[in-house]
Amino acid sequence: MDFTDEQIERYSRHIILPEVGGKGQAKLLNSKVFVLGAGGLGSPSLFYLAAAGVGTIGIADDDAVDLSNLQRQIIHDTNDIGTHKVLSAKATIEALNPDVQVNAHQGRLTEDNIREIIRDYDILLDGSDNFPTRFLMNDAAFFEKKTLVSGSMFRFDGQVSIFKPHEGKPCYRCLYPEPPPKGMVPSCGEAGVLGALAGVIGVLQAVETVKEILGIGESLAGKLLIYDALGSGFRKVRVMKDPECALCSDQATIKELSTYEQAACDFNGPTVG
Amino acid sequence: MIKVLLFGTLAQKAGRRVVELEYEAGATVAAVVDIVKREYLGDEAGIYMTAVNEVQAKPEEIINDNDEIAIMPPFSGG
Repeated sequence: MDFTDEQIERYSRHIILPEVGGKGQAKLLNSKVFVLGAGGLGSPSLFYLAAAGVGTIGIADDDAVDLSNLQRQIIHDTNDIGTHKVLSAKATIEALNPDVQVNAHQGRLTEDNIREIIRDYDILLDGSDNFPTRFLMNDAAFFEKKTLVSGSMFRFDGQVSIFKPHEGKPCYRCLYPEPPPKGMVPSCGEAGVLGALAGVIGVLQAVETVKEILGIGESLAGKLLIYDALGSGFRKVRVMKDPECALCSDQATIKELSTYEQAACDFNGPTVG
Repeated sequence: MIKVLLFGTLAQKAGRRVVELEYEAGATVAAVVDIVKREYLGDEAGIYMTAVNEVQAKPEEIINDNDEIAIMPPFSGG
């Protein structure tokens, strides 16, 4: 592709990297990434994907910006309180980089609409905030054969992995076959989280997404990266495809998306429309 | 000695991130998890994944002395 003079300057620090170069930058500009949730993880991911020149970014969330979000959801600011998160995020991205086409999906993501919505994208990034949505996204990604870059957090701990069952690597259900029982999940209001932890995990998701697009480095597929903010430590656990996985194994029993139980605090569950 | 690492909700519930246990020959991952559940988690651990020395391990896997066992629940926060 032909770059404009502005693009050559904007992406110069990418283009001079041999691992990226003009070819890699063109790949980024031609790529389509879907980000589920414009919250703690989605905010930093979206910022860096947009800055990197990912050409098309889809964002799904059904919530509006709340004052209590701003301790970590850095793509929104104080003036955005009450504004729909996808619109607030879209405005921030467009101000940062006019090369990016943003598709804002408002409304709830359900078993009826998710496959059609994600079908147009190359890579999916999960920054959702509840288990039913995480399982819905995992299952939909499997059926659509899309790579899923997953991030999640709790208090001071974070997890990042890439699920690629269509390439022989594990899916989310190979690690966690089903959602925890309700009593084991703290409600959203109770679950505190260190704001900057969202930055660490969301940015790791952006890094891994860019690596997947460029096809460089070691993929996080088949590995679970764990960050412990209090212990200042990273661990990388090798994870396996479950030969009895209900979704992605030869013995699969899940053949289509079904109804996913809504979280106790689904008022801020990501959605679409 | 074996070292058991706890994460997320399990670390919160146990009030600690590391538990050290005496090694018993022939012990399995499941046996270690049972001890931790009984002693530190009020017998409730919900859904979790286990790893031995940073490799995912099934409950029936036999552990060795000085192994490091991680018990990792999924996180939902985003």
